[in-house]
Amino acid sequence: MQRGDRAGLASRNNKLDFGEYGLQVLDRGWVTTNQIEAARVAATRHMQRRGQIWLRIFPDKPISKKPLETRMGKGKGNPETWVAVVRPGNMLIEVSGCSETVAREALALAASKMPFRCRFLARRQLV
Amino acid sequence: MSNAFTISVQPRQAFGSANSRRLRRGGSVPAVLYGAGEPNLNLSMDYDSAEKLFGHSGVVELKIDGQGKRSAITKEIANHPISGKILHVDFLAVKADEPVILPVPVISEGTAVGEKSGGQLEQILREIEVECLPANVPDAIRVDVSALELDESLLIADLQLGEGVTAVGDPEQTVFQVRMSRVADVDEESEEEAEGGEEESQAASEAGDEA
Repeated sequence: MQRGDRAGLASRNNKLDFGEYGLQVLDRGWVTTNQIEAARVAATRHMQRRGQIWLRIFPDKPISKKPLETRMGKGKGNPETWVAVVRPGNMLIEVSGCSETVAREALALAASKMPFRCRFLARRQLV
Repeated sequence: MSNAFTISVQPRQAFGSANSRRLRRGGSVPAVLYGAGEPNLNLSMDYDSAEKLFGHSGVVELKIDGQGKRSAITKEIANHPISGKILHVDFLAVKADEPVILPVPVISEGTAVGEKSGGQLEQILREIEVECLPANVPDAIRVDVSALELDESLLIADLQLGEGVTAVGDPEQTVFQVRMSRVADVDEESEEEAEGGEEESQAASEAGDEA
């Protein structure tokens, strides 16, 4: 089936570019609009709207599906949802303006909404 | 000001991805030196030496085996997206009498006055591009933010960059700002909503009594 290529590691969007802390993907797959929104809401609620959040992925790939109990053939199914393709190394969410403890907790909640393993990243601090 | 340090590098004869991979397995990092009107030089260096380059924005003295010393700045460090290990280093050769343009990290010092009254310090730019002679490159620009009040900001033009160092780019760009935390705004809104809700429920009950 023509589902596109998601091989390799993330060659871009793989660094902390905006925030102090971030959530990085360790597996490959699709993230649907609902999963992205659930992660955003979970992180925002935990941070109590303190600080700032950046979503680093956008669902720009339409996914079609045939209705249930339909025989094969009769053309392609209708677009059902939108997904973002992620590869190992992609940044999902970045946050700043809060303590590391709050960021860790907020991003752990966001990671629990994702269909794959993620890890917490913090910017290297210069003193 | 000058924060040059010396690292020893070796000229590299084996090119290509397979050879580079072999080099990394042996505990070295491939690198390249270019610029200053001279031919490119392929190099390799110890992993430990490459790690020292993190957070260092000044001039690096490269002691090349059998070819003397060359001054350079670190142009780019390529990292593995998952392990974070250094994969490759780009050095840009510099001449002592020619100014260079390079990004320098900005670090805040102190606690802003506005933070004590409920505000939040936001750092908009983490590094700014400066132009200076290689000997004058600062390792970081430390900014005292303690005088910043609520809703005030520090622009690039406000920074003390040191002698012989000028900022490149828009001087009106914001580096730091103190803004009211959105939590405080939300609290006020929710109080207003609660009051409004009580009034509405009172009005509704009164209307019910009349009926």
